[in-house]
Amino acid sequence: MSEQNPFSMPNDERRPSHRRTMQAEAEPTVRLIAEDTPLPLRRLVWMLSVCLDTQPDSLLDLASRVWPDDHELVKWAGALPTWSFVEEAAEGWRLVPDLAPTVARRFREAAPKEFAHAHQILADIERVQLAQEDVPDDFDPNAEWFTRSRLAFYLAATTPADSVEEFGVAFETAPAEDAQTARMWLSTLVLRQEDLLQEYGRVVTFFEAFRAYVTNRRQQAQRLFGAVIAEGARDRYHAIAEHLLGVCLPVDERRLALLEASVDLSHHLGIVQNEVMARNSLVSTVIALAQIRGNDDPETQPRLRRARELALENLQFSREIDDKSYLAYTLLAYAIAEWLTVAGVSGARARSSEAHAVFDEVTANFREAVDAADRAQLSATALMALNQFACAQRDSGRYAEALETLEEAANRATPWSDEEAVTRLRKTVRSLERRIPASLEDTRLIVAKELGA
Amino acid sequence: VSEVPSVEWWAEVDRSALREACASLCRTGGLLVISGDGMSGRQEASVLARHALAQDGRPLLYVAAPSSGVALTRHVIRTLLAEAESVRRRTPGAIGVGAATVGASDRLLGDLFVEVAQPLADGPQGLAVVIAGLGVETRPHDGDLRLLRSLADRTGGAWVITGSNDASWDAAEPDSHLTLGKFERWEVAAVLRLAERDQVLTRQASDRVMASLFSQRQRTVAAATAYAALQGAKW
Repeated sequence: MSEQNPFSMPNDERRPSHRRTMQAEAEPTVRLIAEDTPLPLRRLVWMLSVCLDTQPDSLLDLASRVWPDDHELVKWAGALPTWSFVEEAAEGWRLVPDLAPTVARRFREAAPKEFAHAHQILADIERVQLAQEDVPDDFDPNAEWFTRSRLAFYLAATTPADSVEEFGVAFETAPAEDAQTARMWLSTLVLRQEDLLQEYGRVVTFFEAFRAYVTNRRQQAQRLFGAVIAEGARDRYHAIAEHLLGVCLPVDERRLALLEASVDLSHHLGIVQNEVMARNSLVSTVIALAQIRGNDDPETQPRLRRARELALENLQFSREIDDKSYLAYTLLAYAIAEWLTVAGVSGARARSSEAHAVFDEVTANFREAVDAADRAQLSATALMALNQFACAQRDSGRYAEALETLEEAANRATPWSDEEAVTRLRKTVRSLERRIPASLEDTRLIVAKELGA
Repeated sequence: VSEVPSVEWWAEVDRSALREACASLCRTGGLLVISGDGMSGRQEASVLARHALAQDGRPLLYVAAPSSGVALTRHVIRTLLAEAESVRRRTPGAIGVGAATVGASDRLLGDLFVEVAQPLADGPQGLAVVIAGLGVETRPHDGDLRLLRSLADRTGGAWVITGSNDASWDAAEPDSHLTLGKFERWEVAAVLRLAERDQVLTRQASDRVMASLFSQRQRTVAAATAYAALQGAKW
């Protein structure tokens, strides 16, 4: 980074203190492994430290390929799973994440050739796996994504440039049904390879920023995303950082500018997922700005029209790329923007003849959004769509219909449903209090009870 | 190698609270969460809980959580279905879960819940379930934890979840929650005395372990470090 860069920071500052603490905590165990462990067992631990996970038999096979002359490995392989720092996961055995990076560093320092060879073998295994995953797996439709991510992890030791490219693609194409968790997992892989990716500190910073963003450390996220953007690389990471920095900021012109820049750069680079999501964020920001300024602001109606145009553009783009998750998100954004354009913010014109005339179309839009969310198994998005639909029905005076929609949502809601979606539904149910005729109050109370309001 | 101290052997001194909690759970049913960091001996805790519940004679389902945390609940539920089917095969008629349901990727969680909860609840003596290593790499969603809580309630069995102390376990509304702490100096000393008594370690080896783990002013040590030192002493 250049000295003039206001966001530049030394590596130590970038690495959060809890990671430094964790590594210090692991140090005595790492020392014990290094000093008191027979060499074959130490080699097995080294091998395990660079694997994301493995079965005991596979570990022995891998270690034997790296150290073909060590005939003692087999004798010690059985001891490994009994160690406290070896954990069982669904995918196999692994060294506890608190320990693995420090042990791997020792492995690299003590046997750099073998360290690289081990990664080469592991990367080859993932490549073979990828070739076998040409046929989609019904049981695990995201298998290929995981394999690609693992490949990115192993490439860090041999071809870090390829590694950061693969990590970027994986970030962008994370499984939509739980993209945030998938990306958080991906970020753990990047941070674990931090030592190997030193030349690509900006990429590591990006993933640090993402973790800060998800865990609601917004100021840190802003600073780190800012550092990624400030380098001016105008690549995939730059485009995504603009989007995520934008949504960290308050609703204002700077946020709008960042989201617009992210959409443009994503379009230029052909990063379709970020283009769709950044434009969706832009739609919601334009709407939020209109809501903040209110109906008296002369810019409000033009803003709502712009939101509708952007939402329509995004919807058409989603239909072109034929992704059912993005289709669900963009259908919902379009349904909301379309309704607000005629109804005004806070539903000020929701009972006008113009709003009345388009209500069938609005109903169809929301219904299509709910159906698309169901097809994509995005239960939270389906609940959000039902809530927005109920709000539109409420504002237009269709109270009985709004209650029916809320009842439908309540029937779908479970104790494990997305909390934010359920909270919004509860709020909408409460908002009907005193607005509805007495004959509907019992129904409202039942729905409220079902939603835990 | 086969002589390394077993979990049960350690448990005599260092995890008594965990064993007591499991025994209580066997009597009352409910959900016990055991959390700790990676150096706290989570794996031992999972194995210990498994042993404690198995001793009660219940059908036991053991699920290791996926590292990635993606689609966590689906993975756990599918594994439970598969495990339940395996129990059914061993005990015909006990748990009627169709193996064909496992692997259906397009079902919503609600369907899966209905599908798994009742058959599990219909088990002969109530099930014991251990879900190991939850939230180690990525935090589980609150919704996932609430779903597991609902399953535990519906089945009326004894459920133990072990996992990271970074997760928001309150969402699971555990009946009890144990945190795996560090070992005190006296705890390690007590274990070493047992090792000497059982002739697993010599006095000299035992002294070496203490010296390697504790400086004069040090009072505690991470469980994984203590285990590693003890095992190292064998070599």
